[in-house]
Amino acid sequence: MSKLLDLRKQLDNKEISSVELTKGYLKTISEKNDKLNAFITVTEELALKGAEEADRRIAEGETAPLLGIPLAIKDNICIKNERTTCASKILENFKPTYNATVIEKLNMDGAVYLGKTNMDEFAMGGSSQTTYFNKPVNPYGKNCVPGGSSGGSAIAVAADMCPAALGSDTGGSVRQPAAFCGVTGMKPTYGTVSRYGLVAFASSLDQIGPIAESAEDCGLILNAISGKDAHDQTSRNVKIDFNGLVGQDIKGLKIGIPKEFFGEGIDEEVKDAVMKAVDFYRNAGCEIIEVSMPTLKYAVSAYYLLACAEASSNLARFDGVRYGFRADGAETYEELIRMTRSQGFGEEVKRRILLGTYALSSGYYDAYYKKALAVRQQFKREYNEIFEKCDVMLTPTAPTVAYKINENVDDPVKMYLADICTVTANIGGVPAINTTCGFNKDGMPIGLSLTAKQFDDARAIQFADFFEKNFKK
Amino acid sequence: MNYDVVVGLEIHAELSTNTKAFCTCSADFGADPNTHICPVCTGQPGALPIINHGAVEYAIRAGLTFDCDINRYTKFERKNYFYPDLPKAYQISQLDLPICVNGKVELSTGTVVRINNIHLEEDAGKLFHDDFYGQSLADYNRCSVPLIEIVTEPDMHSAEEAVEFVSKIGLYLKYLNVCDAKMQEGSIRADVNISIKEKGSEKLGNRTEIKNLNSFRSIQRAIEYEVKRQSEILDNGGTVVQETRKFDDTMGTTSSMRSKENANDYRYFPEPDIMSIVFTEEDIEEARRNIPLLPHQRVDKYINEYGLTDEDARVLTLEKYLSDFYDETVAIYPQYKNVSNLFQTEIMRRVKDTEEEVVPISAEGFAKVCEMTDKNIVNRNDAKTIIRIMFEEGGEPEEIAKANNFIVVEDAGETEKFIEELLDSNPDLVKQYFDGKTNMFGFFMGQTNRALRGKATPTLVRECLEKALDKRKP
Amino acid sequence: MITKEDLKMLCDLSRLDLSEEELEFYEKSMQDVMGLMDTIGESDFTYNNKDMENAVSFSELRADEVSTYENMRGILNNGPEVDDDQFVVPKVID
Repeated sequence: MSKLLDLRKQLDNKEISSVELTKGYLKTISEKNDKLNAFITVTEELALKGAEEADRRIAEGETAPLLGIPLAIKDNICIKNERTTCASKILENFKPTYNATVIEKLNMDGAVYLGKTNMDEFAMGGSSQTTYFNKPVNPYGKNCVPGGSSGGSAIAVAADMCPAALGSDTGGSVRQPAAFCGVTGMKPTYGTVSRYGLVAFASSLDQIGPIAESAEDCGLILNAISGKDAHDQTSRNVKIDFNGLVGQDIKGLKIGIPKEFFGEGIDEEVKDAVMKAVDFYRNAGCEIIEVSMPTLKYAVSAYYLLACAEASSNLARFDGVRYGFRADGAETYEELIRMTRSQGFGEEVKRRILLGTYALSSGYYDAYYKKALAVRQQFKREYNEIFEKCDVMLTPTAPTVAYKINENVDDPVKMYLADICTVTANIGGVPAINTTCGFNKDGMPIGLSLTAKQFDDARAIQFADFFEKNFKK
Repeated sequence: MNYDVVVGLEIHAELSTNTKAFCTCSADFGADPNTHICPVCTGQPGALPIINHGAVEYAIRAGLTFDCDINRYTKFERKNYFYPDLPKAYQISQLDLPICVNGKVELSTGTVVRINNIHLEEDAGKLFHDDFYGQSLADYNRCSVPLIEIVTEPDMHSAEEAVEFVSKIGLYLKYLNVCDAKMQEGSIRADVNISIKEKGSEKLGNRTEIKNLNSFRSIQRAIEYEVKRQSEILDNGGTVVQETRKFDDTMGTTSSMRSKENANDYRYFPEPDIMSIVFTEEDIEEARRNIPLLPHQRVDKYINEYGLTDEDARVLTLEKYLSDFYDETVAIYPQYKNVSNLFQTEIMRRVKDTEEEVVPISAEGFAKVCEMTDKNIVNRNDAKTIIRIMFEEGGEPEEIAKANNFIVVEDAGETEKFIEELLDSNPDLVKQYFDGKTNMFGFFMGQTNRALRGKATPTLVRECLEKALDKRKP
Repeated sequence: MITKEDLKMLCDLSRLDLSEEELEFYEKSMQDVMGLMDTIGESDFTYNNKDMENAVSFSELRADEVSTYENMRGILNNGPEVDDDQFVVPKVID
């Protein structure tokens, strides 16, 4: 039985109360967070209040999949009156006046919030090391990064500081830290989960997604948070039962292996582990076919051009006038905005703002941004072609396992290239899930990704769930 | 030297929707600072814009009225710039595929002004500059109120044509019920592009753009000043700098806005938070059905259905609220011509030059006064007094008439008696009448009316007078 | 290749002040990054500006009905400097 189903049963049977469960996790957090830095803020008061309320509802005979279940929330998702920093100095003391739609939905279910998790500043990064706060650490040790940007959420699940968490995924920010920390993480189809109250990085790519111990638990959370939202025009009116295919036979279904994802730069151990998973599926009766995504060679540049262009606009609102950090000593508006932004944003955020501004500026728009828009449309065509041939596409989640904390930090190009395996799902708007398929010789987890066509999220979960329940690790 | 003047306009008109363009806050003007705000229009982190169906429909109505094509696929862009009245640091606007394209409007001079496009965008907030403390205060109530921007080709040739164009657009937008077009409240503002060229030359000169003109007078003066300034530059062999200038209302002059404004790079790109919109033929037809009668159509109706003169019809439609009031009145009391007369003499002169654009009395009340006058229940002079009292003190016309003894009570006996005495005491005038001086009839009428005010209607007086004269016929 | 002058222009456009040292640092790093971005120049696809995937029908848009936000006070309370229910902005120079 999955973690969340097991907790549900215990809560419904009154074997444990939500308050007891919550206090247990709060204790684990207080023991481990100093070392792992998974949380920026622990919302103890909110958690206990929520747990008490959940216990009251349970006592009245109510039940819901997440009623009384404690969760961790990435710190770029707004919870009303709770500090929401995006791991940035510029929002260090910012308390939103409203709840994100996902929080409103979780409130209806009766979920409990343990705290806000650490991340790369404004979700810009793949290591969680660009945070303004204490640097998070991979719970598998070896002084490795937890991945990012939703590193805190992945750590919290992997280190049992919470049973499940929410992250956000713009170019792999849920799946890659899940892979690095040996847990399951899913980016659903763009538009299935409302972005209202998710502090925007790149609006056309951002999607909130769960990190949990299993694919089935991811599905449970997605069932609770998905759906059309009047506050997000890009949310789609498509009702998906994310666990609708869990337990159904995968025999005879087709898995596409895109050769471009197994080329240069992919670590041999990662490749081996992923190919063992392919063998597993073949033995389970799946048909393995080769597919192709020739445009993959433009994926990283297209992704960074689109994402940074949107980010340069999305982050322009931080000027020290309405909320957040305001630099001291400015005599004019011009000075205020320049000082606030220069002091408030970190190095990587500034780099991406500059890059995005460049891509949109007059004289460069056609050469960069517009080209990236065209490449994006090509990716959608290639995904359509691929999913005419197969049910899911199987790839590594990251070219390597988690790397050492000070590695790569001075080489943005190397950092950006490491996103090659995950960005296309965001560009194409398709669902993708990471699950653990093995460990390297140092014991670091290796993740595989299963990608399905738009709105076929249940198919990706079916395959990941089958793997988790049947693969002998 | 003699120059041709070339003027193009960008008119910004605030739409009179209930809600803002991208959130559900009220779009009403004049509330206390920051009482029409929410996470969306103040650009809170994580908030997202949700486009208003009403605003899009208003833009379509305007487009159809000015002969535009409606793009069946329309999309939105972000226009990025920093200013403290713009919380998101970008304005949601349209560039690539605006809602309306390729329209035209004809002016009284015969000039046809082509409209390049009409696009939908959001307004910014308001800044109050406090010179004493050397700071500004930001109020975001107006932030995200929908605007349409009407962009013309450079087809106007004088300040007068530009003013006529703006006033015609304003009038039609009012008739469309999409904009209240009150320049003094800033709900309609214009940017003007001006260039001059040698008379008859095809080659356009460098143009200057004067931003944010908010009265007909400032449009007129800004253009006149620029034409004079540019002419002097060219006369002296200089070159006009292509730039944005601002107009000083007190001095009546324009001045350069520094290079910063001119060097702006707005970095337009498709707005990822708002889906593009696809219109069906039925969508367009429905918007067309929602277009009320426009000024020229009301003129036709007044002439052809109501039998008014061309001039009356023209005067009645000069302002929408007046035409509306006339329509309401004749809907209650359909004596088109008589209502028109009393309306023009007694109502229009009282509201002329007021800013509120409302007739402060009810159409029911006015209809009653017209009816009482027509039926000789009150005489015409008293009717005017009643209307004056209604304007100044309010009240119902019948009660005012009673309170002031204006109601005519017919007393045929007394009328006959008065006329007999009048004719008997003026035998020579009666003789003159029968000798062919028929205007004596009017003299007798006037004498009687004056003497019997409130007791006899002119109709009764006429009857009795005719009878009495008949008896004396030689 | 991106120059220091380009970088200064980008800083102006995005309202960031970089010290001389930072300019040196970002010049190098932006050159590297733009080297990677430049690979997109080899792609040759046409952008369709009427992508139906990003479109909704007119009838789906939000109805024009007012709904008042209940926490306006919270928005004002978040202002770093608020006077008379308005956000204080230092002197704006046009």
